[in-house]
Amino acid sequence: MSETAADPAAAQSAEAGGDAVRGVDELFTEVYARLKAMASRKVGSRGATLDTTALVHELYLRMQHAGDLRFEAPAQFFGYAARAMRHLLANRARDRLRLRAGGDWARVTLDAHDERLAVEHASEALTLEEALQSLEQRNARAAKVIELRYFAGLPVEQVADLLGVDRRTVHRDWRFARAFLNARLG
Amino acid sequence: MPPAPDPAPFDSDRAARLQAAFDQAIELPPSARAAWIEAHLDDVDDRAALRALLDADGRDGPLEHPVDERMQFLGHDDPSPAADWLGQRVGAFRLTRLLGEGGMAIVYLGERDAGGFDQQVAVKLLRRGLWSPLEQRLFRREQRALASLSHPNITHLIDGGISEGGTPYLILEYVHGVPITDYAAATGCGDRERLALFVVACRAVAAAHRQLIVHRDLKPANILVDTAGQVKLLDFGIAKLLADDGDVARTEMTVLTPGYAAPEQFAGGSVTTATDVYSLGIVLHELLHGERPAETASERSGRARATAAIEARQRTGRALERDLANILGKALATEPDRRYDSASELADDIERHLEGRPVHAHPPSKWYRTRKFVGRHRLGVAGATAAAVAVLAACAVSIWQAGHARHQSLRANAMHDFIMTAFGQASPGSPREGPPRITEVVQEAIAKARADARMEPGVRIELLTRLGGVLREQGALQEAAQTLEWTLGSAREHLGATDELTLRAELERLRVAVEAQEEDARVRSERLLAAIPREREDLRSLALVQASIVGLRERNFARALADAMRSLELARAQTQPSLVGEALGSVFQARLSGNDLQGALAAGEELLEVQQAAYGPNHWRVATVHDHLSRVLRRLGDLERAEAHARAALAIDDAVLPRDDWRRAGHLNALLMVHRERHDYAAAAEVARETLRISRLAFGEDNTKTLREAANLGSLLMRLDRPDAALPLLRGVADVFRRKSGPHAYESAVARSNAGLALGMSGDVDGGLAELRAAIADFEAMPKPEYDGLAEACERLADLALGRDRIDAAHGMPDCIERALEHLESPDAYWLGRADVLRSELALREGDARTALAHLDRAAVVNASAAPDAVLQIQWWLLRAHAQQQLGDRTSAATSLAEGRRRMNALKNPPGRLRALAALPGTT
Repeated sequence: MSETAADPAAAQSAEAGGDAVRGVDELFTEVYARLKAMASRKVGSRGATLDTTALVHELYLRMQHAGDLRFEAPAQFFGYAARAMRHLLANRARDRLRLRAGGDWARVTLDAHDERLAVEHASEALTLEEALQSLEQRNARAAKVIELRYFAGLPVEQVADLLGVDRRTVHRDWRFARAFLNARLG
Repeated sequence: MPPAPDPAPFDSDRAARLQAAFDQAIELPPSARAAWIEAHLDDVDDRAALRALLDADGRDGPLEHPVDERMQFLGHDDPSPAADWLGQRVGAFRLTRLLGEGGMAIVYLGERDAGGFDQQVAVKLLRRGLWSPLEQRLFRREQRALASLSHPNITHLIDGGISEGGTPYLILEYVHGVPITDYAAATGCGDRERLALFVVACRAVAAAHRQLIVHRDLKPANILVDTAGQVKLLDFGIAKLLADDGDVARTEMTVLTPGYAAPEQFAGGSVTTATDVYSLGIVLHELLHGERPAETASERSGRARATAAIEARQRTGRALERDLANILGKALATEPDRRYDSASELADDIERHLEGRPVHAHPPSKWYRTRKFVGRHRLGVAGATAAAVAVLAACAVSIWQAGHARHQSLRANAMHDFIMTAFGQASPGSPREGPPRITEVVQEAIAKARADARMEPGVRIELLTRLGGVLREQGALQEAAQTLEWTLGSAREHLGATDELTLRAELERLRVAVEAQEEDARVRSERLLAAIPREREDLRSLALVQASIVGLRERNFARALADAMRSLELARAQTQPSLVGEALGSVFQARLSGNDLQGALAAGEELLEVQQAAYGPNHWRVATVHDHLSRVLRRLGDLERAEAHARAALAIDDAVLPRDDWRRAGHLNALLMVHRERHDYAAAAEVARETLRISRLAFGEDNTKTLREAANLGSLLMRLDRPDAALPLLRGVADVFRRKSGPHAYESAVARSNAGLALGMSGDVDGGLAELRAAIADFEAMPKPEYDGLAEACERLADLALGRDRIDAAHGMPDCIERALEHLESPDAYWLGRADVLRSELALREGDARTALAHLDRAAVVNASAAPDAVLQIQWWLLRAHAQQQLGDRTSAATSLAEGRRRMNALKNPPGRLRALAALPGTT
């Protein structure tokens, strides 16, 4: 749908892994679509709390279980999943803001408090996304660390493994990236 | 593809340098950092950048909010994927109209446009994808089983499959019909006819059960009566198709409808034919009694629920009613084993009843009933006060709520006598008495109490405190404040500042201050908390509730939540359920405001149970909780449950409040918000009309709440392209604000610009432009201008001018927008590129395509930005197409046009101006 069409994710994800059986874009799109579906069912279902980390791992197990895991290594999967999560958040935030296309609603609000909070939240998510993009351009690995830790919820050990660096480096990258984002959003 | 944005200029060496410096400096103690920077970095910019980073290291930032929480807050994605499908073909059918949207599927009306014979079907598009071959195989197998289900009272599955885009779909017979309950109500048919219809439904369910197909989601909306009077069951077995993941290990995701689902569905037990029997039982109850059994389903004991509503009839009813109550009791048994073995047995028993033969269902044993009775009354009010409660309930007065145990019986009696006299005129058992009447009676009582010289001061003070509370609950805040101030003065004089009654009067006064948003509410709450003696934890709990609300007003959510939690903790240690209710309410609000929606939901659900237990299912306090739950569920994206709760609140209103009660307006607003979230502006407008009517009655024409409701309705009407209808409303709002607050108040200027746009759009372009210009001038003349409102007014003026070919009038508006935005610290993303797009359109209208393109290039940010506005983006593409066309570049123009149109078609209600732009002459 229009959302994925406008999504730069597919193009950008090429960097994340080698040539899989299917096209990289296709594989990323699938991870994205499945996470998205799982997440919205969780949000929609009664009493369930969304746990993105659990979601990512559940998808991993499922795709592995179904025998249709076409990834070369877990690293590739988690790279995709983390990025998919990141785009999912940004896209949802955009959707939220798109609801107010036309503009008059946001100000003549029915439920002013609700609406303002929703819009604030969405705007903050998008600012975060923008800040991440500039971090990516400057310190790509630090941005990757944020993606894997924050968006996919991976533990430091696993992030270190996936990126092929030691844990200390991951900690350092995290602290720098965090300060960078704080400064941007502060 | 849109042109790529220019990457911001940066220097990757410098970035690496900065990170290396950061890594070193951060290891140093803060005091040593400044010197280190001086010594190690030469570049001024580097130094500043590093300082900023080190500074930011010590702060909290965006990563402190887990991504889960962010996601949760934003709720459902795909606000309206529905629009994408309209007009498309699925199977042999073209989708012509949206019939409905649920969490799991979207339903369209499909029409066969081949072969000249017209057939209408319902096309159900599943939201879930089917990715693996295994999932697809399972889906097809299930679908074949359903297709083989053929019964005159069950809608037929015509076709199913997976669309080219991978969306699974089902094509079903389309029924022109209404839910069985609505049908029964509309035709006014009697119990016998209702039962006969119901038996037909049972037989159809039984037929499906014989083929091992369970419905899983039976409810009135799925049991229709068509125009020919035929019962038709919808969606057989589809719940399973929707939910089934093809993953055997996962059973947590089930489709169910809270009011109708059987206990085992909530508990995650196995779903069998007995599940459908239970749901049929609920439908039967609704058919016979007009509502579902009293207690809400959910995980609570089904036994209590099944018997609560029915028991009364089992005890008191005539023989025939007892039969039906027994039948219901058996169908609604918690344990599936104790229900009817099949839907046909249920049908058989009803037929026996209709024929006057003894039914097979037995009442529960006497011992069982006795136990239930005791259980239900354990928390209840003592029997002796029941008669008084009946009278007082008529006035929605909570005077007796805490009016036993702790009071000296003498004082209680004195109050009792007084109330009985004062309220003597209020007709007993008439819960439909309206708020004006109540406040009148209460005011009269207050006057009497103040004048009654023989009354003991303690009695008078307590009485006045409570009557002040009643005034507050009725929304008469000013009168309440007056009464309570007087009471407080008298209490301090007669009883001293620390007497319990004085404290209670203070508490009540604080409540009014909080509700009326008085400025000294915080001071009052601090003073009261300090005055409450340590051991009075009940009073402290209540005062903390108010402190928490004050915290919310101050937007100090952490403090609000802390106060609320403490209040709840204290309340739980007390024996009065009403304390827990109040505390839970404030926990709910604090969590909601702090964006913890799941937490709020949990508090709200507990609150619902507490209030239902305390006040019974039909009490306005319970309705308030439904209202809260509706709002939080809507924000969680669960629109179906949000609607259900809003409707539950309204159903209670219908039972206990007059149609014109102000609380009903609030609950209607909750429903309206759900409609709006679904982009169903027509339905929203309908509700908004009623809300406005009530607000006018309850608050008066000039009240801010009323004006807001009027602005809402006007805004909805503008959405529906009905500026004519919106105009009088918006103009009225503007006039009143102007009169009340002067032209230079924010709300006055906003209202004026709204009205101006409506005026212009409904034909008086000059008048509209003049009003918008005046609104702009009003904004500019404000002592502290509200710049976003100003930018908006400028944009509206430009929109109107361009839409009505008054190009000259639009000049200067892009500058006006930009000037306004310069004053804003962080302009909303909505404004990105907007002024340049506007400039481009102006240039284009003046025939300068080259300049138009240049402006568009500058506005390319609308496509690249992280926060696109769909309408603006479409405008961007369409304007580009026009400019390219004028410059003779037909190929590019065609591409841009196609892109613009594609995006426009994805909108549900594209504005007229876009549609006009999309009709580019000289293209196909």
